[in-house]
Amino acid sequence: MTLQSQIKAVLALIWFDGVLPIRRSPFNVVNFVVSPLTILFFIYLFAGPDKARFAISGGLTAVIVGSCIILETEAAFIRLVVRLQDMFVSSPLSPISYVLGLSIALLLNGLAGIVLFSVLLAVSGGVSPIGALDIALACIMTWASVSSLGFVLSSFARDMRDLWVYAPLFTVLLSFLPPIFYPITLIPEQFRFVAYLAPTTYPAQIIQMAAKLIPFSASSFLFDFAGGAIYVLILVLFAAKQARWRQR
Amino acid sequence: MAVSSEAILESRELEKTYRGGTKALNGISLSVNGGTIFGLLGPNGAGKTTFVKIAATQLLPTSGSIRILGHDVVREPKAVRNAIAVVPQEARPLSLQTPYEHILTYLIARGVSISEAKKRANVAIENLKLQDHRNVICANLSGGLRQRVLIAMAMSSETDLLILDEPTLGLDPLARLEVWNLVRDYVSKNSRTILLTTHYMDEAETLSDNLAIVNKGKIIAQGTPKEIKKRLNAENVVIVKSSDSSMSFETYGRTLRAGSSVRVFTDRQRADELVSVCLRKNLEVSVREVNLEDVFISEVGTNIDDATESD
Repeated sequence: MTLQSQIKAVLALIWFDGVLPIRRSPFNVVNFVVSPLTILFFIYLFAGPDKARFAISGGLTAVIVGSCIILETEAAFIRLVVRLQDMFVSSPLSPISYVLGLSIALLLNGLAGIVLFSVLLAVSGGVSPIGALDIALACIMTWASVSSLGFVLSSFARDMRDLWVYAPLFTVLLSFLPPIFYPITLIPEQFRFVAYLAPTTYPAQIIQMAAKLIPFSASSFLFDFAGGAIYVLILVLFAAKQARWRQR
Repeated sequence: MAVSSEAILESRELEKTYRGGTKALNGISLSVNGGTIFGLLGPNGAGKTTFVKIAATQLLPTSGSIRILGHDVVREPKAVRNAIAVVPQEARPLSLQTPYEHILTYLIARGVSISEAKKRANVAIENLKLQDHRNVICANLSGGLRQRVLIAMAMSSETDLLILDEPTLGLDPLARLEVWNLVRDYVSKNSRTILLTTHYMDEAETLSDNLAIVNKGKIIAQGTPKEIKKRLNAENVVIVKSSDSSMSFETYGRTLRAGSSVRVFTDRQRADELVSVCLRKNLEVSVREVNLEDVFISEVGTNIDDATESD
């Protein structure tokens, strides 16, 4: 298949597994915004409008994590339950196009939330054009690393019940425990390395810097960019290696 | 491209042992000619799906080879994937999408242009009599219609080889007949090739031009349904219900005892004689022409349902 055909295949999968289900079951979209909005509500209530901007920036990351980590259950469902993945494996479609199509399709579930939190971030304190680019970069990093992780997890599952527990667990581990909704400086220095174990910490720091929630410094930006990029690389390569396109 | 007469799939001494040590295939050699329906018949756990998965480039063999249109499935999976379309066992369409959307997406994902995919999707909808359900989401379709959607996806790809793994599993008798008709029409109208697996004897006998009976990873009989049945050297089978193991029917033909019933393979004249004798002794008796199940029982010593193994 040519590159052009693979791109069309990706777009077809996005339409099939993203656009069509959202059009027919739009309530799913609300599902991904509820938790971050609830956190925003409570932070606003108890900590005031200043700290609420952390909740807005965290909400942006949380929406992406929530809509990408479900690739774990969606890919496993298509492989194990409806078994359509086998039809695609035995076709000229490349595994990369397949994963890309599914991961973007699922991201569409979070699109309303991404727009909502981006607008809130912009209107609540202002984001420069360069800051907006940084935020977009951070969002792409989060999408790539979490989607890859989701697909890797799905490839190990032999039964859907193996997975039901992981999506909520990883949502907490990737979007609520790390410094996503709060500055990393609140964590005692000797324990900060734990926060850096989460791939979402790096892009979240970039968003916080771009939104002027924490001071910007070139070294911090480079550190967070490098950390996020390394995680993306590791997880994408791991997904490509472990993804069970053809079983042994 | 429709291919006829030449072997489109050739398997040589194919073996598969899973990591846990289960030997699913033990030296399967067979050949599928173009423009025909080849049936792989056997109980659940016989190795049919393992064979299909290797042929469909979803699973690697332990040893041996399969070539499809001359391409090795292990070394040249891309070439093989261009030439095949598969309907996996117990697959089903997604709930929120319509049959038309399934076919269209599958074709575009295979690299077919959008305009050609739309054309083919409409033809497939018509050929598979899905017009009334074209825009109905699959959640609202019956099991038979859902299976037709998957078959439509595979058939619309217009590949040389179509692989159907237990295409009628779980369908009601009417839906099964519909699938049979679709399969026959596809091969007769397009001169394409179908490899199908089934554990239904009647399905294999009705649909297959050639078939292989598989048990415990080995082929126990291979040929046309007629040739395979000839192995029994009998036209009829008389089934006598009798728990008395001392009763002997050897003089009428080859005898097989399974539980409380005895099968006697014989010719028509001696079958009539045996039935008369049994009726005089008040024994429950039935007679019919031999079928593939008799071959299976004759080779394995048990019927296909009892031979089922857990995977």
